[in-house]
Amino acid sequence: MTANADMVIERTSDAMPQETADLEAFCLSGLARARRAGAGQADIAIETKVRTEAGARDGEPETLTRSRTTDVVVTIHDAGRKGIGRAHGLSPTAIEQAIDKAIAVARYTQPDAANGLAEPQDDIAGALPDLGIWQPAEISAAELFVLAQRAETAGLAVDSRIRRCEGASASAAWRISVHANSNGFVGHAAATSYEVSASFIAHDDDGQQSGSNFDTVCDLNRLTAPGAIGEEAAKRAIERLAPRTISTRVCPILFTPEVAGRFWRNLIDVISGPAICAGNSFLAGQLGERIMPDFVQIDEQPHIRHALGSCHHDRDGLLKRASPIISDGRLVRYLLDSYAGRRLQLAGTRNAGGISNVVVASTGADSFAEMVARIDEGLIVSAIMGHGFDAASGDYSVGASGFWVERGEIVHAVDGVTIAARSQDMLAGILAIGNDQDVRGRIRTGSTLFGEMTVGG
Amino acid sequence: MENHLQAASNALLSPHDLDIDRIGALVERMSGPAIDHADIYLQDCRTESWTIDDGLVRSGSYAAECGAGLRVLSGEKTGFAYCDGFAFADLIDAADNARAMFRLPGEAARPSLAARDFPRAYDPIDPVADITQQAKIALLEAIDATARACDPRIRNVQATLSLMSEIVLIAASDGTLAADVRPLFRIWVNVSAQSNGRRSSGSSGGGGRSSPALYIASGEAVDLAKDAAARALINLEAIPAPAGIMDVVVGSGWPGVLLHEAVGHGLEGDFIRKQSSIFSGREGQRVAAPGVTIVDNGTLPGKRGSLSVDDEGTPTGCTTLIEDGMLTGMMLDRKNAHLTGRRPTGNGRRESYRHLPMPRMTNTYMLAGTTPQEEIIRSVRSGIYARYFAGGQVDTTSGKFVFSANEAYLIEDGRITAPINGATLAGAGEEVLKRVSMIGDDLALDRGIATCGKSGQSVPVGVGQPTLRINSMIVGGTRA
Repeated sequence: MTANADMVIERTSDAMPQETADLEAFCLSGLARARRAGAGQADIAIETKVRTEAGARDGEPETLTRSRTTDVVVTIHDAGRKGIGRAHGLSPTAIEQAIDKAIAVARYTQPDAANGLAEPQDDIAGALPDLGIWQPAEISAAELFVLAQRAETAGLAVDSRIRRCEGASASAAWRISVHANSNGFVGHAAATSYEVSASFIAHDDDGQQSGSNFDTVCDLNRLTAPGAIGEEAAKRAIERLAPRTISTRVCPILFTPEVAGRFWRNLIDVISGPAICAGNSFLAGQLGERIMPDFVQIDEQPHIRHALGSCHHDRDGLLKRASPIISDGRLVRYLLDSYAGRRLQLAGTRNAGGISNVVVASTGADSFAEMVARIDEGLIVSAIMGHGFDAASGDYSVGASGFWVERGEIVHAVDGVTIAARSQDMLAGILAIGNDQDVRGRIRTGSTLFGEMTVGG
Repeated sequence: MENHLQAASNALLSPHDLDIDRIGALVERMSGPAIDHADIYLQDCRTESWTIDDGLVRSGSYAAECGAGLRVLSGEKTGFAYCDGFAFADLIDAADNARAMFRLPGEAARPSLAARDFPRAYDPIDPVADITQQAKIALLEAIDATARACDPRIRNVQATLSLMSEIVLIAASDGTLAADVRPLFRIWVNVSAQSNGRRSSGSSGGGGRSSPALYIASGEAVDLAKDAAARALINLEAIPAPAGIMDVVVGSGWPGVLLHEAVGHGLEGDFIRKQSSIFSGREGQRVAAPGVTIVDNGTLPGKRGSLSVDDEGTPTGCTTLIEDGMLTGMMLDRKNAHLTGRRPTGNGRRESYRHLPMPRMTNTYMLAGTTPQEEIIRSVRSGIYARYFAGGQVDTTSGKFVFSANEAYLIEDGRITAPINGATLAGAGEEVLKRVSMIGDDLALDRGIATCGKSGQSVPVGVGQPTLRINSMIVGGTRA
């Protein structure tokens, strides 16, 4: 059986104005209903997503998933009491029920003076920058299969030790959302996304290892060639073959950009409102303090063109603007929504709903190879496993695999070891951040070199 | 059975102008001679959640997630579509999208859908309505007060009560018709402590597919607060964990996450069929020490990981994965069972109608041995006793796994001594299971907190084990 070549075409180009108008109408009638029901303040966000994903394996189409879904979130504030109602589907009954449930739930909560909508800010209402994240393209399911098959074919051709493709897939999707509240705010957002991913298994006499890779973009024209994505995935599987363990020691550790991104995610979490309010953060009380070497700069940049996290407003409906988080190694702000700001008696930082794009600046022109060359004896960590991060104490301990380096050169693959340190010491001991920035996610960082961690093996 | 099918019909069909005939017509629309299997999964899931934080129940939420997933299987190929709600026109669109991948020549037969009777692992109760709103708030306040009363160094208590009422109806081209009303609740407590500028936290949780009112009445809910507070205080005194290879005693109950990672995932039928698991082709061979018997059992009454029927309409059972150290079984959904010429084991699970089913664990645990716990501790000269975990992760291809202890102690000369923090335990599935040298007589399941993630899908599971001694595991602390 073969894939139908004439399967439905995604026509995203015409969708936006009508979809946006529909969602806005639902939001506004929802706000009117909340008002009639006596709710003090209301906030409604509705997002519709349409997605097609094609998976290929052994040169054949394997899966085809198509979906259209809508998520509704209603927040009601009434004299410090707060209730949230969620529903799936764009139907008047679903939204009405979400509003009624949010009101009913709020009635039983206890008043918290910090609750309530954000006070409208007197921002200069200029033109909103074009984020370049709505890039409709016409692509059929059959064409998605072709992209997935290219990734698979290229990976299988890399080396005879690549035995199988675990799966290759390509997807096209768009999302449109409208967010409105009873203070008169109405915001729109729309984005397209295209993704190709592939995963391979390599074998030798010693055993087997997997390797995977992906690219995700807003603009189909900017997608890495699927063949290159597949090749890189297969190479990663090959490089991991014949791993050895290394004995327990303390040594420098170089995180690849993907692993560094996961480490920086921990930092983002522990300086965010919920962790700071709860005191469940090793960085609570550290505002203004130097926590890293003075060459480290970390900025939130909400308006990067074509970037996954780019947006105009936060979830409180406040205008986003670029602003530093770590300046010359100092923690210059937490990441607070208006609620956390009021609770902590600090200015909110327009981080309701989390971060937009966070950029960890490179410390120089160091490429990954130059960073490796700086290591006399140390470990490159290309994958980590586990949940060994304690937000309160900062203790960090995870399973790791990667490559052992001696005199600036990779000697062999390593797996089945652990790496551990206090996060406070890791931050203070950063030696360099590479220019090999990973721009696929919300956190943009290069590989990161830490002075020392304990390796268990 | 009557109760479940009637409840599903009331919630999923009649309000939306649907009936069993129309469901049959949708299945027929996705069927044909070249199709192995077509099915539809209707789900109505209502979740209510309340959180206390720093002494106040500052917010609550209610979510209604209703919709349908439609699927067509032919050989290794899968067509899948889903829609929110149950409008018949949307369901027809979804059926057409699910079959879009296939040419469907020839006539399809309307399946004659018939519900079979099977044993039930829980009663069709509604946890959301099982206790009053006032009682939910009062419970969280009692948890907060109990934890704070433990010690003045306790600084904050966060506790969440989640109550879920889920109804599903599954119909398939082979005539399968199954309905299931699935109660689920969970209480999660996290306590922060502070002393001399040092911070620590401790957590605990419990629940299951049973009545939250009875659970609260038993006092177990408030006991979770004491458990979490004690753990936070222990961690406040903890010294840095050592690093290196040492003998490890892993406690009973929730530490069974060890088995979930070490062998559970590797024995899921999709990894086995695709030969990406280290256990592919190993059936009948020794993969663990003698005495090690591990099962996956979906039928335990009221447990978090239990299901009466899986998300493909197959009644669950008890599958022996490893018997006395030999590999004897695997967990299968319909697709992987069909492709490997076996029978499905009732392990076809999905996070929701928006996700495809795949082989997943239910309650996975090791059967008890005969050695008392104290004797196992006493047998270790120098090592680690790991009592509670934050979770784990496995690479099913290499078999390497880790799990992160958040209550652990040194064992010195056969005695438990100082608490340690930041200890990750690492190993490879088969090696570690072959190094199990003592098996305790104290089998316990976790208290009902585990959630398993795979390919972006989360499902509730149970884990369990007796106390185990494992020789030579990697301990990942900071003291080299």
